[in-house]
Amino acid sequence: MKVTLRVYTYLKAELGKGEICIEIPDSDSISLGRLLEEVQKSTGKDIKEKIIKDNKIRDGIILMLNGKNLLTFESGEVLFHDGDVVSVLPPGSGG
Amino acid sequence: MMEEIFARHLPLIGKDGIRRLLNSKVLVAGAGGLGTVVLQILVRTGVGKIYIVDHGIVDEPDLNRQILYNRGDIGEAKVDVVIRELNKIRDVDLIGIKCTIDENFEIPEDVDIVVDCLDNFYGKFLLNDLALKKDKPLVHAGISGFYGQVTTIIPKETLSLRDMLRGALIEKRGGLPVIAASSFSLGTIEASETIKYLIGKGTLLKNRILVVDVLHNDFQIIEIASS
Repeated sequence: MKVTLRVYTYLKAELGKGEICIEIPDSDSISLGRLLEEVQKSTGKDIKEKIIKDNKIRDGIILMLNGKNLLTFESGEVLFHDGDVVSVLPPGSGG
Repeated sequence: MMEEIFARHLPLIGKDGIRRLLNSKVLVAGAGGLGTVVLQILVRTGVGKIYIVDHGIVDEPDLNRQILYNRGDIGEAKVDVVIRELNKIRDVDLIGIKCTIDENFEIPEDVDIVVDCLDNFYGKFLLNDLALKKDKPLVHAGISGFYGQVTTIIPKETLSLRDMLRGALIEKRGGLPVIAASSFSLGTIEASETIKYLIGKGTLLKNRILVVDVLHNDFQIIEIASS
């Protein structure tokens, strides 16, 4: 299966690209933590700790699955499936 | 007779567009980096009445980006300086409200659209809650460093800002690093969204978040599923 990760602002700068498609053979689902580990294997860039802390999404990080905010639409651990697009946005709060 | 100040954009939006703007009422919450840019554009483009909500005093670090303030204004209430400076551009009905947005804040009934130029998500989410209670649209922007985002919230057509950006840090105080280039860019887009809504022209950032990165000249849109 294939899952696409899109990252924005400083996460994009950190990763060196805004989008990466991760292919996971022999599986039909993947957690966020494992997806980010696969991203690290593929790119050599570790952005996991900037997104996850103590197995939870860090405060200040917005995670969307196919355009839906996971904190608004889901509860508990979410697994991603083939074709999913996961977007990670750290929004600016200043004015 | 149309004011001469509108001569250069009259061909773009027409007499009807100018009339719509002159009859429109906008509430701008926050008169800082975003707000001063938004306010200046709204006044120059023709908005007829603007409520300006801010409790702050002009301070020297504001001058790197808050475009309506100068050294001589330090120590004055921002709302007072804003009204004085905007009235130098053209005659507009400007109403200053010196307060912070809290649960008791009442958005005036005659407001057509609210513009979020606040500096923290506690206030931003609350402002949108108050706008939705009165069925009013809201243009949101937020900045951090070289980055920022803009989206337009329309009652019953989009998620609330709170639901769309759940997970954002809800601290009450601002003070993050920021540079004029990002304030001006994001403020300009916010003003553009507001004007497009008021004149019914163009495409709004409805169920879409525009993410702006002025450091790398990167403009990207995140499509939002509304339900």
